[in-house]
Amino acid sequence: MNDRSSVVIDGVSKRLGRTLALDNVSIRIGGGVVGVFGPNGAGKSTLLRLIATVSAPDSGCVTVGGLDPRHHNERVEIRRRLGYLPQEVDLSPGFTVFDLVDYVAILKELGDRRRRRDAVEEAIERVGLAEVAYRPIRKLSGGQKRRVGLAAALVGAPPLLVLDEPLAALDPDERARTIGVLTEIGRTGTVVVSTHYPDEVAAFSSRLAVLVEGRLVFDGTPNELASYAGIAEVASAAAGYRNVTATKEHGHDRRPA
Amino acid sequence: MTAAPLDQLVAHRLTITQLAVAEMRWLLHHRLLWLGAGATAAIAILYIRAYDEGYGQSASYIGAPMSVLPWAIVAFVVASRAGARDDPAGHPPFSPVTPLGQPDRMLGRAFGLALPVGVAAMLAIAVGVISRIEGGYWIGDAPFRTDTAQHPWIELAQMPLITFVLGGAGLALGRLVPRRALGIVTTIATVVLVLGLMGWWIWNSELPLHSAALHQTQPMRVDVPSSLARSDFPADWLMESPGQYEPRWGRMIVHHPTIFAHNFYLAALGIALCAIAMWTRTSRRVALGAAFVAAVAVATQVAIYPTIS
Repeated sequence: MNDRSSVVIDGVSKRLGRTLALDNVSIRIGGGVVGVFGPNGAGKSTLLRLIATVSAPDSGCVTVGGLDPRHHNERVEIRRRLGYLPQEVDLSPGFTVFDLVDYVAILKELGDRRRRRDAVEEAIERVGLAEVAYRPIRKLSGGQKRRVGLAAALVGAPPLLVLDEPLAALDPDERARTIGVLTEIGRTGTVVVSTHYPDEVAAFSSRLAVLVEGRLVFDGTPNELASYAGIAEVASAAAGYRNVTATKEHGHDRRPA
Repeated sequence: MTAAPLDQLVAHRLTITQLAVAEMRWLLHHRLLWLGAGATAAIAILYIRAYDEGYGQSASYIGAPMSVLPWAIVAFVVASRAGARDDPAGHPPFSPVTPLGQPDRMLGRAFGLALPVGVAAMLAIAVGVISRIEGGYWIGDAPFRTDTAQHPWIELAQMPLITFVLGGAGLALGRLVPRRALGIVTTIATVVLVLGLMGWWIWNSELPLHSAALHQTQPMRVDVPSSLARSDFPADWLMESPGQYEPRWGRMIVHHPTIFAHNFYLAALGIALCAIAMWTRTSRRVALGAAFVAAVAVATQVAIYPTIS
């Protein structure tokens, strides 16, 4: 387990208006790529927002690297270790790719100018946007804009990446490239990815978590998931309670070890 | 203070400085800013040329510094966009989780106002230098008397200060108004600012003169007692002839103490608005203190308003 980027979610519930978005979810994440998937409204983004310290749970607690985000100083320290890609990224259309990622690098306290420049160039290179680095964002395609957000999350090489739908709006080539990058990062750090593409995520994740109606119904390896239902079946059936039953029947422990 | 916190403080200041530079680059990306620069330059040139060519002179002394207004109003609009960038209630915030939180980001934006404020300062210097080359701008209209005066530098300092106030107002507006409503609110605020300016120009009353952030407070017109004959006017007085709106002779005064107090008012108001934009417990206290200083500065202006006995 990577101590600096390990995530412990313990009995977390979160209500959004009248909807119980997360219901007593517990999971430990300690390195590698962890895929979170489930149908729309399952609570994936809510879970990722909690890990990323964007919002706080109503009950239960989330810690990152042993730090508790309820305390200001610890929250700031978590954010020093974190790269977060929200589901929707608000990019300033007049800015160039480089300037925008550079701005985020400043927000991440990459103070030294040369080091920051190198970090920005590396992040842009990794997501395959080097050729358009000095192009205004308004002139980019939807997939390229998504990768700008990814570059902003990657800049500074944070040990923990929390990425909400990083593969959305990407064409197959872009998706393959992004998967390669995330796999590489997952070897040394922790990557939490939510997705609508369970097949692809299963291919490069060390672990999968399936959420249905705010509850964690599966937490295990891709092989474990495939052995009882097959990934495609889980994807199509995740909205129903059949999986819940299946999970219980197969005895997958969804409580923290 | 131990070494480690000192290092952290220095690093934090360096980061805020870099953020301010980045914010200036953000500002430069707004085409509206260039439109404001063009309008301001055009108006400044117009007033300076109007003096040279002998027509439209009535606006020269007031007009030259007031040429900063398009620039300042555009700074207001652009700053409101910057202030709304992390709107927590509207669109998803830009890069929401970084060690530098919203107060630091807003501090960077406030320092980023150095760009529009600096440009306004350069314009002020240009107006002051040209004023001195020309020997001053038209200020009175009595025939056969000296009728020009040079702008004191502390008066010209109102040009960057007005820009600072409007930039701070934009940041505060962007911070407090949800982004969905920001366009409408900014438009209304801009119209109110312009109408307020026109209202002052039309009804020129005393309290708005001291408390309005947007207009030229000088020169001040003071009625001359009717007991004083025209031949008794001291030679150094700048006079305004009786006219359609003012039936009595008036003395035009550039009153340094009032300028000084008004500058204090503008600076305090700008600081208060930037502090409101940051919206932390400490910054709210700063805003309160600055608002108090601003109120005292207005009271001071009213108290020291020049009169002729």
